Amino acid sequence: MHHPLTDTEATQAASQIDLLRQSLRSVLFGQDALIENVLTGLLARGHILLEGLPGLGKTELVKGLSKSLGLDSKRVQFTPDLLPGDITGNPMLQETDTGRRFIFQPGPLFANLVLADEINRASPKTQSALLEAMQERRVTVMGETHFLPDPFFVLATQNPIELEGTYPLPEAQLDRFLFKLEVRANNAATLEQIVLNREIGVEPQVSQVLSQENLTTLLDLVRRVFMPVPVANFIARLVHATQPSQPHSGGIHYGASPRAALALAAASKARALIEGRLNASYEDVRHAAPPVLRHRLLLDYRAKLEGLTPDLLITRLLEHTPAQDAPLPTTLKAAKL
Amino acid sequence: MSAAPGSDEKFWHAAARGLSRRIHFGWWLDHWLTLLIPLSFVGAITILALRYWQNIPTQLALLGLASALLLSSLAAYLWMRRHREPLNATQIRLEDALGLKARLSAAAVGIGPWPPARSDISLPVTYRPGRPLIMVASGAALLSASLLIPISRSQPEKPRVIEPPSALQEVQAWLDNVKKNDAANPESIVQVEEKMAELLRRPAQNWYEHASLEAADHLRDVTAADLQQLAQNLADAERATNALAASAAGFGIPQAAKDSLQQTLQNASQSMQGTGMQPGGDLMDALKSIDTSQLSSMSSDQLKDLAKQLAQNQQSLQEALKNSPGLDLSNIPEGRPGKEEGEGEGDKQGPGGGGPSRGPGTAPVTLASEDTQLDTNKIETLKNPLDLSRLATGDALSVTNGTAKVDPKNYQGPQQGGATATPGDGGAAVWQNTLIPAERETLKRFFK
Repeated sequence: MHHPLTDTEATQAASQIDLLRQSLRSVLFGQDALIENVLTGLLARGHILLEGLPGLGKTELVKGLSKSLGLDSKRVQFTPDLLPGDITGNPMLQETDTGRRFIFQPGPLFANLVLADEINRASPKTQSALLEAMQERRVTVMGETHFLPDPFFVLATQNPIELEGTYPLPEAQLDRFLFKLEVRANNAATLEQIVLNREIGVEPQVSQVLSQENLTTLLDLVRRVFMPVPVANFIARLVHATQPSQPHSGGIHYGASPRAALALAAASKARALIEGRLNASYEDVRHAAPPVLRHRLLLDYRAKLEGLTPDLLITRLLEHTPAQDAPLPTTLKAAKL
Repeated sequence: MSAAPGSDEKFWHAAARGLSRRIHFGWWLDHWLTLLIPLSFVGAITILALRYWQNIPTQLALLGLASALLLSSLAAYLWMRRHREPLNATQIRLEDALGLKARLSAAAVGIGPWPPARSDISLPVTYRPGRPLIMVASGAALLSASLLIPISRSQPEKPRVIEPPSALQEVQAWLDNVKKNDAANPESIVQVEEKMAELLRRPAQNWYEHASLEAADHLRDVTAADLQQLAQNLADAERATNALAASAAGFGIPQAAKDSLQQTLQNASQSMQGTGMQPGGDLMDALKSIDTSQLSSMSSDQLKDLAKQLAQNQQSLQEALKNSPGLDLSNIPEGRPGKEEGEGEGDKQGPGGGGPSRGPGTAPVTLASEDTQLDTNKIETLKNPLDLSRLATGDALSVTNGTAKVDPKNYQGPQQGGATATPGDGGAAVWQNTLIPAERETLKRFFK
């Protein structure tokens, strides 16, 4: 059992996170919501799946994050011929003092921050190797286990266009990602800002604002954020409401797993710390619900035919899942103040 | 300015209690409204039934209405208790609606301070007035309608009284009047009443059967005859007594006439002492005490007293029955009533003499070619009851024999059914019959 967070700790944490936020905003223009969600995912110790068109700044975000935190980062471009050993590392035969022997050469996964670009283009075998490493935070090669560095975050991207020759991630593997974020196109004002402040071939200058130790402390503080029983109850009811047997889950073929509930709780706590609060709230849950649940809901054919999206269904579920589940009498109606 | 310790907590607890009260009232209202319509319906039916069956005092109606409302309120309250929300549950509504980021729930378990009290807090639930208004209005309309719509009160069912047949009522009226005037011997009246009672002893639904009616009619006829007989006897006796008194007073009456008078008095006295209706008062005793063989030895005063008693009894009898239709005793003829010669022939019963349920039945009138033989030689004529001063439309004044006048010129022989009787003259009929003279002239000129 963790000690509850104190006001001082929460305030200090919020100011540190704000520094990180400002640093990322100097790298990525016009994507405040994306930055907010990435920070939330990072603090919740989750891996993030980014979906968006090429050139929207996903790689820049990862680079900026690694520089701001002073983390070791690697980028892997996934292709169909990429083998599991290409990302996990391979034993290499080397001359040593004791003779020739296989020495493990770590792959790009051995970094604090890994950008897995276009993960859906790799073969399922390679995808599986990556996702197993994400879950277990270790790699086993030739019977020898190698632990991944701590902290370890994977930001994977996938391109929603040109899906020919790709291998869509199975739902069970999608579940390993805490968030699925949609990177939206920039508006004209943002593009103008990018044109004025960026140049092709020139890396943006980002200074480190937090150390790795600071990040570890923040991650520990997130765990100490208080989760009130009514909020936990709200999370449980919301996740349960995604089950196809529930009244407002029309269009959902498979609902979210208990891991989704844990992810929601962790994301809510992280968001509470970002705002310098001592406890998670219903608002945190509502805010975290779309990125947590959208890749965990499998829609049925009827929903697809009707053009429903996971986000629409999540909005509907949130509307029908009040913070207090006891019904109101028909002579009264709830009002937001 | 910092608030007093614990004041924020009290404030939010008070706000939660206020919200809780509103929610509980909402549940109570919900349940009460659910009960209201059935209750109003039952109340309306009850009011209508009470108005139909008996008068309802306004105070009682209002008391009943108030009691029903009170009971329904109590039932709704008990029902509401199932939905009672604890204070921490209400806090969840409050913190969610006010955007307090679950701080009330956290502070309640000691995590962080209570949010500062707000001066302008409004409860996050509002009333929906539509349903309560509609249901209360419906209930009131139902009750008002049951109170205001015109309804006829139920009439208590009157016991079915079957009047005795009119003949018996008539006889009873005669007897009552006779008894009242002491015009006949009570014993003879009791005998008639026993006969009436015997007839009425039968079930009332049988009183109007043909046999019962016939028996009643017979009793009436016999009683009427007895009363007429009594009146006649009294008149005969009184005349004879008066004549004998005059004779005793010295008026010269032949012996044969005197014997006849004595015989008349003797016959009348014996008849009055026999069966049937007997004279009332002391007259009966006086008649019994007279030795008819010694009538010639009676003094004039004795005879006058007897005559006076007879006259009084006769007077009483006529007075008693003066208003009895069909029994007129005011003009008693001399002689014996009922002994006159009838108009019919012979004395045997002929066809048609039976009653409706017995006897030989209807007269053998048939449509056969032979004449109906009724064994009579006398031609009887029907009396024409037609009163010309009271003629009504449709009454036949007379029936005469004659021959129908048929105009042979108009008769065109037998025709087929549906055939046209007057086929007309074709186009000529049209222009000759439908056009006005000016048009007719124009057409004539055209065709020339």
